[in-house]
Amino acid sequence: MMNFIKLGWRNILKNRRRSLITVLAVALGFASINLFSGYIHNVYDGLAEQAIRGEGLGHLTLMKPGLLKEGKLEPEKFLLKSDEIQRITGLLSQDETVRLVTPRLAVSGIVSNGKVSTIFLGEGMVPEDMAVIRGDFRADRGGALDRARPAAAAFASDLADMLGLKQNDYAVLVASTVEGLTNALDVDVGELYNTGNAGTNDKMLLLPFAFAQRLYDTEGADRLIVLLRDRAQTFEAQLRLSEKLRAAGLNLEIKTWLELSSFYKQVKGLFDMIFAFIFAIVIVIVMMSIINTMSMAVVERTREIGTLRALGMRRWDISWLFSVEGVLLVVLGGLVGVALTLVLAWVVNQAGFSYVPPNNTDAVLLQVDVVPWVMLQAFLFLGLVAALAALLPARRAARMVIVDAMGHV
Amino acid sequence: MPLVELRGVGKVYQLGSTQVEALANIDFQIKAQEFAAIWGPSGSGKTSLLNLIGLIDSPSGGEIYLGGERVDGLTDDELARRRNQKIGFIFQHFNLVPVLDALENIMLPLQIRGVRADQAKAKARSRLREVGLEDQWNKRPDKMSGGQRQRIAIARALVGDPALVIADEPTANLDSATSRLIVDLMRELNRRDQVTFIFSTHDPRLLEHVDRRVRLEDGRIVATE
Repeated sequence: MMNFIKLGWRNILKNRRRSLITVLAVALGFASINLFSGYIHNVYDGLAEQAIRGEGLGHLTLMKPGLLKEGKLEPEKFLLKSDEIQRITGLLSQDETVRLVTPRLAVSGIVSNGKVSTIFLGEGMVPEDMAVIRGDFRADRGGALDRARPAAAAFASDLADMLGLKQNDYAVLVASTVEGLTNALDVDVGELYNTGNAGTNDKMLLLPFAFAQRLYDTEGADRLIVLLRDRAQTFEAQLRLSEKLRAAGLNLEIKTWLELSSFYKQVKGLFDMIFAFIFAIVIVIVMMSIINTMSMAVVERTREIGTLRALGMRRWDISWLFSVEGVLLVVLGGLVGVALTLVLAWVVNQAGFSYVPPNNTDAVLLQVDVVPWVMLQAFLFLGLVAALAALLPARRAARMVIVDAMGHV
Repeated sequence: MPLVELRGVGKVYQLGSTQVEALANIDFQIKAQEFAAIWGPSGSGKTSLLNLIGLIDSPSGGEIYLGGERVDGLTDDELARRRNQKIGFIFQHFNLVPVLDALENIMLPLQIRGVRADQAKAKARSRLREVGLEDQWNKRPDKMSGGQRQRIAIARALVGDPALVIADEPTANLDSATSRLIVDLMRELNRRDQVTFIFSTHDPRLLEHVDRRVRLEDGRIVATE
């Protein structure tokens, strides 16, 4: 093998110009894959944080089976009672991966400024727990609840604008209780905030949990949100906690943030498709470059192939010889590609480019992550493709009749 | 027992729709340690015969024995192994690998055989010394004269201690003085190492130095002296 590498390397150096073009084609293709995968990695990470912390989904959501489908029709049936909440919270809090368990109550109805009204979607949450879930995620967007103001709700900015409400104004919330009666409560306008999503920024309200309970005239919650210590533990924790609840005789559904965030799934599906498309183009470019380079090498070195066969090399050895050379070209291209990736990623990250994604209310920074394991996977895959591409001309070289090859001019 | 034996060997080439008979019904033996020449005019079949003896081409008919073993029916891999272990080649155009230096070219047959690099290097150095080019070990073929390249090719042919060395027109691309030196070198190695040499030539001056001359014409042996 060392001899094959030595021969391959020296032949690459011998045909510098041709090798350089092939190496650059591989490097540019590889860098494109790395940069795009780095970009979507950053987007996925941002979307995940937005879902978990921004939307407050946490990592896991516990609810009674059927809540998502029929909860609106019979809300009382799907509510978790206060003793159930305490029991479940106590049980889950024992798990070392769990950082926080907090109740939630989704409410909806009409919000009025006294003159005009519009619909709202509200989320009742415990203020101090909400602060833990949010952490330092996009504090600039606002929306914190104040424990000292039990009747103050955070208004989405477009909703507040629609009603001409400013901070410290008041409004009236009208909703149906869980028993179907109409209830109305005065609410103070707390912080204004940006949901980050154009579809919800004109509807959302964040309410103190106790206030939401009062609005719906209940002591229960429709969900329990679980925040884990690490996002990577989500799926493992989902299985383990499900098992723990089942063992305790509790029939509850546990959904991950990924299952509940349809926006994340849609964006990921779109970007994954684009990535596959780019990857396929790069693969074709790399394959064509390698096949072209190695085919020329086989033609130029036909007499050498005949000589090596006469000296005792087997057909398989000849195939290896040229395949190794193809892989060496990709290795070189990969190394140049890594350098290109690091430089371009640094330039993009420093440049501070920003853009407004579809359905977003504000601009986001264009950032590219450097993801070594994705780069390694792409590199190994390209190496495999190069070996297969080189194998085509290599097999042709190996199948040559020795006397014909030696007579080649 | 002869080192090489051909029994009724023929070789027909297909050129488009035409069949060309390069060799016909060759019966021929080479004894161990011989220094034999196959000679004749261009197109007489010298190279075709050497290709068959060297196991780099297969006969259209007949039987070929090498060291008593019938080799004309062996698989491609088996033939490759026999070539590597039993036969050394010297070519008219030297056929050195251009990206390898002199020493590396000589090491090639041993490395194909799987000999460890340090052992192959030591053996190659010894052969390089025998052909008088020890100080040229790190030169690549394109930096060497024709005579030097052919001496490197001779060292490469002998480095694996083959039983038989086949040289196809080894002096065709060399001037007369260098040709004489090359033939003297091959003759010396034949006597000292008791290696069998068979080479083709159409240069009558070289024929004075051989043990046996086999004359080919139109693909047939017409005289053995």
